[in-house]
Amino acid sequence: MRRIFTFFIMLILLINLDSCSLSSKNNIDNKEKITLTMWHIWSQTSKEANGKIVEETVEEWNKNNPDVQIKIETVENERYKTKIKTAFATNELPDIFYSWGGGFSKPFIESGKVLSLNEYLDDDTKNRINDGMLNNVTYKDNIYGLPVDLSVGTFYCNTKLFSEANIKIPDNYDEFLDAVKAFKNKGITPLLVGEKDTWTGMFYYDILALREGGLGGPNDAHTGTNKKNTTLKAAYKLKELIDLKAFNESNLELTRDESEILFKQGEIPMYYTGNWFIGELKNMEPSVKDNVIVKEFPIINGAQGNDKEFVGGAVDTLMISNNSKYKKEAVDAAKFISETLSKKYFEFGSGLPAWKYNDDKSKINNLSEELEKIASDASYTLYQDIYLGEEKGDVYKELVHQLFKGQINPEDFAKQMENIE
Amino acid sequence: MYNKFRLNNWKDKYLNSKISIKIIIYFSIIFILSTIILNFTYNKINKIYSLEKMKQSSVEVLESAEVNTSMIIDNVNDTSKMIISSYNVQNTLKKNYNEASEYDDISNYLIQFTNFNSNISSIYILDNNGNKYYSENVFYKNFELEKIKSCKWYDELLNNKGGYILKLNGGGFFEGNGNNYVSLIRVINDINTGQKIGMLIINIDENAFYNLSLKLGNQYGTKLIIKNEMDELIIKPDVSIEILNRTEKDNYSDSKVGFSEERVDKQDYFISSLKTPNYNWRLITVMQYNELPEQTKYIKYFLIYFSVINFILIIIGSIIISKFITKPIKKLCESMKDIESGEFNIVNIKTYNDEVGELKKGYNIMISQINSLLDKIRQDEKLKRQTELNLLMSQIKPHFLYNTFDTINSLALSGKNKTIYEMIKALGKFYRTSLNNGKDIITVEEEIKTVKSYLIIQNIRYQDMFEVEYDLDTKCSKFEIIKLVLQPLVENSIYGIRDKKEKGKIRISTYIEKEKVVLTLEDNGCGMDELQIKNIIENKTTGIGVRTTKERLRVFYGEEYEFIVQSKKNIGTKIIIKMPRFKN
Repeated sequence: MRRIFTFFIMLILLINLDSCSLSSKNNIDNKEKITLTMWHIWSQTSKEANGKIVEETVEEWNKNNPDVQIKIETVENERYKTKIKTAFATNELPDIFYSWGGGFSKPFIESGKVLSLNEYLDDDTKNRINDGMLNNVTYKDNIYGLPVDLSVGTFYCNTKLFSEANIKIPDNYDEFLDAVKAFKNKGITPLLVGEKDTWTGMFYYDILALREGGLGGPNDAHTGTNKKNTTLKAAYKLKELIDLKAFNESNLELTRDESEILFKQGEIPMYYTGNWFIGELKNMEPSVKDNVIVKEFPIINGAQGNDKEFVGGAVDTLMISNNSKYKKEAVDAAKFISETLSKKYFEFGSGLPAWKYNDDKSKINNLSEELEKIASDASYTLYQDIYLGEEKGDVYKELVHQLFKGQINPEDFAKQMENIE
Repeated sequence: MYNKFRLNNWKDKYLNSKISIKIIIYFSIIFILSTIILNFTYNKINKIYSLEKMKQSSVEVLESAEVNTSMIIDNVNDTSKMIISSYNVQNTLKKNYNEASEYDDISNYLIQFTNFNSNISSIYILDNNGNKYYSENVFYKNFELEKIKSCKWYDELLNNKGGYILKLNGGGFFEGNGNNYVSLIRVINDINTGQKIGMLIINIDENAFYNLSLKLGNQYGTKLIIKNEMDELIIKPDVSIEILNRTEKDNYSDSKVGFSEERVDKQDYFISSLKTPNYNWRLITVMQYNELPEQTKYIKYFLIYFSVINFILIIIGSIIISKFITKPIKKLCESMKDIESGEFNIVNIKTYNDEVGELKKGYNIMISQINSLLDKIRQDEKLKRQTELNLLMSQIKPHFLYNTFDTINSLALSGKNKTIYEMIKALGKFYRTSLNNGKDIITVEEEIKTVKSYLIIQNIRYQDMFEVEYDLDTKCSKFEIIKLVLQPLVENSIYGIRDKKEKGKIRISTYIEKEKVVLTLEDNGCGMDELQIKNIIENKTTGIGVRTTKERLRVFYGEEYEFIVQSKKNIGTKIIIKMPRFKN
């Protein structure tokens, strides 16, 4: 009897052994980390400091959010455009991606592949963004992007070269032309452009068009009824500078990076480009760095523009793909990154703040601070290529490029500009 | 009820069988049980262990297959993106018309991919008007835009807004020449405006996936099956249809990899499957249970051999052990058989200092005890007969009778009739009670009567030479004792008084002490010296009276009687006899 009993006990033990073993070890990697992909243009390969700032910012996010990790892919500006557009065309936009506001992103938004941020942005977040900074990412009253910084066309003068040549720093266009001619006579190239990147020359055309036509009126180069006239005048002004050989001789062979070396070496007195150049001045020789000032571009007497009008705006933006599996996490990350970048870029000097800056102003780059002062209560017109959107913008930049090459006359330029729209 | 009966039957059979059989049965049962448990446990543990190993192995295989599959698809996806973003393609498709030079341009561009990417077997581009650009390694299949538009997956394609879809053989388009293709199909959008400007189909050779499955370890006979989201087979190794059917089941819980065990055609299969997150393909591995590693097989053989050898050893061992125990016991039994014929012989076999030896020792002690007891009984019987004879002799007492008759004679001559009368009356009484119809047991009262009659006769004969005093407890009168205990001793007292030649005194008393009746006899005769007393105590006395009395008491009462003699020379003797209640 007892033997049967013990046999049963053993049997039960064995059955238990059997059942308990299979239940374990069935859950392999249960809690998966969220990995977000982010594409942007501040590539680490260029020597720009912005790349490093982005990297640090993303690292900070990754450290504070171990469950939501951001993976970066970065490609330089022009190549990035092809990459992001291909991703758009193949519906494979990354979770978070850099884009340009205005016309460039318009097809993205219209296709519905970009996440509308309306429901993700509470008033608190909106209040932290400076006024008007959402204009370029708002399409049909819906917000689609978070501004990273405010960029404006800025006029840089190397005062050392001016004083050495005994030339007055120009306050209006006539003085500007005089200065160009005077430098030319002294054998100094007055103006810098790296027209191999076609958008650099566009800056000169854009500011001339703004100064000629002003902002918002009938002569406004973008929206004015009389814009053809403004286009023609601006083209003549640019042609005049080109004919004077005001730009560096190598302008068609050099990219922006390459051309800027000339200014950094203190060889060129005047340069009109984005305010991000302030950040790059940091690494320059003190003899050059300390002598550079920022200014409004000279106004043209008798034209419509004034010195409170700037080319630029909050164009750099972070958008979220509608395909993202983790929309909320992506928006949170984008908020953090854009706000942090806005602050750091301002401090560093590569951008004006798109988000309200509440920190100690002593950290801020002097030139940045000065530029912010100049640009306070300013109004902005968008870069023409971004305003037009990618395809038309490319045609437009190509036209400006032809002006630089001397392949087109201002009349034809104005005509073709009209055809684009 | 029946079972219980049968069980009891077995139990009885077992309990009644020889010890050697019992030992063998007992060991065999224990051994068989332990072997079964050992085998069972080993198989269980082995199964659990190998299942766990298979699981691990299958997860590894699946994950590496997933990575490889993803790599192939990502690679083709990247190629498709290169084609789509190509300026040439974009421009040509946007223009919507077909020129020979452009056709060549694009086709030459596409040839690069089919030439140098072994996974891609053909590429087709269609613009919105149905113009085709293509490069292909294998065959050309004539297909029209309108046909594609009527396909089931066309809506799905458009809904993907430029994202790719994966279809087996272009969703049916490229079927028919034996080879399978996975087609990556996507709409070509204008990269600037997002407008649809064409369509791209890239066919991936199924061999790309076969090659990947070949690289998998062949342990457990692992087979890899890949199915797309429509349950169509992308690659199918040579497994039976029955197994394929079993893989239909969706056995995912929350975890990424699902497991199931299936039995097909008397074979156990272990099936694991994994769903790829991006394109919903199912990667399935089928493993065979019985294809266990060699090592396990050897351990199994070893276990069987081990069990068989163990069983044989245990049988031999139990036979030897039982021989050790049962052989001397058998010998013992044979030696004891004499008992049946009534001979109590000591066992004289060789034993050791073990249980059997002790048994023998105990048995021999018992036998010698029995023998000595038997001797004693025989002696006692002899003695009893002797004392009975002595008693009978003393009862008849011819001298006493002659002397009495002499006394009566002289009394008759002197004419003392009254005395003669008393004497004869007492004589009659004496013989009546002392003979008592041959019965041995009488009451104390009867014994006292006998003694009284005797003393009357002797007192007449010796002319009042002594006087008698009685102190009798009436409680004792019905107490049964053996007869003629007192009379021979009284006779001795009278001789003692006669020899002293003084007026004698005899005192007889009875009383009860601790459930025993006590008879005392006191006289003031010549008494005894110490040697005589010692002789009495050690039963060496020559006097028949005391000796016979003592022996009779011993035979009847064993050690329970007491016979105490107190005496001093010329002063007197006192004898105390204590007897228990007689038990018959």
